[in-house]
Amino acid sequence: MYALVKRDLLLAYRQRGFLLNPLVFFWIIVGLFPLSITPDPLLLRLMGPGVLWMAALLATLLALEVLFRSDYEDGSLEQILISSGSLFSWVLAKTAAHWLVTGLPLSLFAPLLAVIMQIPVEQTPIVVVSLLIGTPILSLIGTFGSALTLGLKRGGMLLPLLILPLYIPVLVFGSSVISKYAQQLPVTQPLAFLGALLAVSLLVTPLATAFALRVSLSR
Amino acid sequence: MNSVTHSQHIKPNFSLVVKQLFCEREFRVLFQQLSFEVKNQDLIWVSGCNGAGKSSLLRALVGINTDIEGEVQWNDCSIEKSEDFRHNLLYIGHQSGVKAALTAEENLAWLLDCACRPKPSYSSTSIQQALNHLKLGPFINKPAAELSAGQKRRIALARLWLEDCALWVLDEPFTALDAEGIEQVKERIVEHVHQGGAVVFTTHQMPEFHYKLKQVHLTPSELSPINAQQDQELESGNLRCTL
Repeated sequence: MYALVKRDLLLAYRQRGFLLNPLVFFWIIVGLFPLSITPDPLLLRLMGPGVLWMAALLATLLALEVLFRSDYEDGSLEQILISSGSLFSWVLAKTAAHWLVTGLPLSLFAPLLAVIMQIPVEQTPIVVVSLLIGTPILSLIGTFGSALTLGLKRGGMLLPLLILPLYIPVLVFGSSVISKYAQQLPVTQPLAFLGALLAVSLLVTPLATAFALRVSLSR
Repeated sequence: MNSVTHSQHIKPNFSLVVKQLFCEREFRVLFQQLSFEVKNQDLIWVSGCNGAGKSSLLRALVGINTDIEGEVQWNDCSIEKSEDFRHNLLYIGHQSGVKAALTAEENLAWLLDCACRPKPSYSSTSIQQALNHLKLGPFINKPAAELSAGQKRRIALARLWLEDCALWVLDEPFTALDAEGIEQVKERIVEHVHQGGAVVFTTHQMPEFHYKLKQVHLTPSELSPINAQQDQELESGNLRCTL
């Protein structure tokens, strides 16, 4: 499984342009808010958590469509399917690689964008923490959607339609972690919900993804 | 040939039994009631015209294509449940799994790692030897994107010299290869069956094997008129319902 993570990271490094895409997209969405709505720091601070989370979600979505496509087209996915290794672990490895090149950079990049949204510096650690717990869930659910729409000619539009409803709870709890922290309310409850979502999706989505891959390749 | 150190293990006894396979695509029956057996030392050529279902059959044999009726068994155990089958299977599909952004060596190492063999029979030196043997030596550190179609094919085919599996399923192994490449692969295939392995392959450019060749010929047929009519009636029935 380590071999797959290593290969995908190497591929991402060779095609660095793709690596930057979600980051640039993330930055553009967040950067446009103060320009288009209001430069008022108070209002921006109020909207900040929601905007950051929404932008992170859309940026993750951007990288999902290509997740399995090259493996599907060049036959690597067939080799993975007939390998002696369990498909569950292959899927986890693929998701981990995807998170390492999208979710992780997004989370680490977020403090810079938090400044644009006038979020005080002392609150940036909680922004990073909420994204670090939340983005793996986005990757896990996204991998499932990507496997399900693999090989469909018009999968492009179907994918967001399928997985956005599943993303909503992550979005709600993720942004409420930050806004509750800003209001100096306890954040354990939304954090616990995020953690629970992560635990459940770690267990359930790789199974579903493995099944979806088998169906998608069976032609 | 001597420079390549591939394993000379005598292969264990095995049998791959194909029972009553049926496959239908777009109102065409690609194959029906197809049964045959693959045993040690078998060299089986799956033939048929373009679109006859050769690749569908090979994908069904290795367990990727499950959208068929019938059963494929490895040593009396369904291939989906057989761990031993996966250990003993080497499948190189029409798309061979070579990544354009990786070098020849990286590609081959990944393909070998991906198979997750219980006893890996290769090392970085043997990988380099195999690539040299297939005339890829000068391109070992070049991204596959810069290589020709035949050279990419050779990267995947280098696995034939490196892995110790009883059953090879090869979809168009000779495509894009030059005469010398075809000769090398052909020799390796014959050597493998002599050692007790078995090979199932498809090709449209049959080289002369000095070996007893078994043939599975696929002749697709249109769905019989009665069935087709029934289907049409069903469809129009559905239409009426929705209207």
